[in-house]
Amino acid sequence: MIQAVDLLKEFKLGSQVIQALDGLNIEISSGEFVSVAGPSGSGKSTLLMSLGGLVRPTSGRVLYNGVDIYAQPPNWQARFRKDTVGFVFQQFHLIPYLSTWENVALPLMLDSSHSKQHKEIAVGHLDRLGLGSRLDHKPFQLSVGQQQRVAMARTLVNDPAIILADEPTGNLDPSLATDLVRLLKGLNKEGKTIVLVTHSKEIAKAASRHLSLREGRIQETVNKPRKEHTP
Amino acid sequence: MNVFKIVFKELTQRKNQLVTSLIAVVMGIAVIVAIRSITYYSERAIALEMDALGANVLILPKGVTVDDYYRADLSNETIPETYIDDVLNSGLKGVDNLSPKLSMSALVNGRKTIVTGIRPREEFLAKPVWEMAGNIFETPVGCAAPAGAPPKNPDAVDRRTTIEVLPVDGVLLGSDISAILGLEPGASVSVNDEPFQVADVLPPSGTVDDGRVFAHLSVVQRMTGQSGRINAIEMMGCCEEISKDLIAGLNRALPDAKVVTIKQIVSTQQRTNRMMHRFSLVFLIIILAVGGVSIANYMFANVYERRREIGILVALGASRGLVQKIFILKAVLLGLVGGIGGYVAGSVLAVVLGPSMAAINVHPRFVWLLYSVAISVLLSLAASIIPVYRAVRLDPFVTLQEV
Repeated sequence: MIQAVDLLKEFKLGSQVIQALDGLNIEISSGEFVSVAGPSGSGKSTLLMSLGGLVRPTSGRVLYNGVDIYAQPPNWQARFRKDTVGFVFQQFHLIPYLSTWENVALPLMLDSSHSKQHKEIAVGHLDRLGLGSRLDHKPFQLSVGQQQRVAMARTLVNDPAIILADEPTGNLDPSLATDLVRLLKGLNKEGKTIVLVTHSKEIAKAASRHLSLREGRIQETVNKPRKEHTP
Repeated sequence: MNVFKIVFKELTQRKNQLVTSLIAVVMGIAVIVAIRSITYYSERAIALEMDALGANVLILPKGVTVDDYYRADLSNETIPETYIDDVLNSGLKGVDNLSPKLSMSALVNGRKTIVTGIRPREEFLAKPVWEMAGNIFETPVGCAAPAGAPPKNPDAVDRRTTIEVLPVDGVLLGSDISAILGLEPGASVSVNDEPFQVADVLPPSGTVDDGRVFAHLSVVQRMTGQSGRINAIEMMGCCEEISKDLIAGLNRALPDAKVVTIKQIVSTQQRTNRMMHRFSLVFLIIILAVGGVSIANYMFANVYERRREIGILVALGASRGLVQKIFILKAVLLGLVGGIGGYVAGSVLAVVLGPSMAAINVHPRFVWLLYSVAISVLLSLAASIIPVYRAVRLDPFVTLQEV
């Protein structure tokens, strides 16, 4: 379970102080699929990054299974990001000079280890996402949809428990967006916790709970009614 | 794949930037290595000359400097050969041996080479190293041995005979030029299209003589059309007399010549070497400044351009330490390449320019590779401190938001 407690995040822009999160509280259970929406500047991305151990809050706490992640030493936080969290970005953020398989294997080599298994693992994930024939291509040689799948393979390569997706469908056409959401739902079914930031109401429907953010606070929470199982 | 591979791929991705920043370091290190190498061999040559020369007084034309003499004896200015008789007839005490010479630039088997005309008997006495078969550390004949004394080294008797009876169509080859031309004693050789025979190959002396061809003085005078003229006289003067009034006496006897003692030669050469040494220090400071700024500039630009990648790495679980390690590795690689490149370029420069600029043969010195790499790596690391600090302090959230 991951919790945000009284989360406050302020950014300084010159003399101006911008409040991205304003005492936000949230609790996400393991295996839950939560979508987050809200206007630009409402704090969606800041919340996502804070939950993933990437943005230290000005005050408040982020607890993962009861452990305050920002109270832990930097190396613990790095391990948390590597082993527990998987980020999916709208811009994909692939490294341009690395090949497809090298991009996917990137999280594996952050231990400074040198292993031939890295490639095997990366290739396995790329095969699963239908990119087995594109192993040595550079990102610019791939279509947008393929780039997104490489980014997904990279996210999954360390088998993270939590997937934090920041508008991952923002650059995709509707068909590719549907594929991605289907993939996320599949991962959720496998037990992964998903937090998805999206502007699309359609895509938000994939989640079991929907949060609306405004000015750094949760404005509305909508729980998707559970379908009754009929034998 | 490992961190090293990422750094290597990143470095080779934008070669132009890399090459530009490396050029400053390579050039700077190259200049230092070249100057230091030439200075080192120049100092070594002085020591060898001191040991090998035997002669301790030089008589030169007025307008010729000692530097000119050591460069290759090549000057349009000459002095009359009769100066030898003038000295011998002057009644000056302490004159043991006079060895006149005239040098010319000639094509020896098609290769441009210095050919020096000598009087073989006198030259042999003036060059103890020829007798000693290369043992340059043995004490020269000097004042203690009178002219015409038997050679100390029994093996040298044959060489002495060969040299002293050098025929007019015979030449003696320095060890280097003999190796370059692939000529052995008895071989035919052409000097400015005139046929000669190699009478002997001289033992290595570590001096400019190794690259020269020696012929009879009269032959060189005929070939240059300078009958009765010479470039220089190397004289062995008795040490005690030199310290008394031999030099003043020579100046009186030869008012139109320049008389230089070895002490003066050494001090001139040492002054030059000290100047070169100071130059290399100045260059070292310049390279520290220019190379440092160049690398710092590259690293700043690199951190700025890679800020999104840094954000990605941190998001994927890289610790700040790993980010630091990546940039430090990059700095070390830059330093290594700069140091090795600078050493190679500097050594080539010294080997090529040594003979023409300082009339000495320069060989690459391995120890300078270590110094070059150490200087370059330390410089690169020092210049990268602030950029690396910035890289580590980057906020991944901010960099990932940038498109």
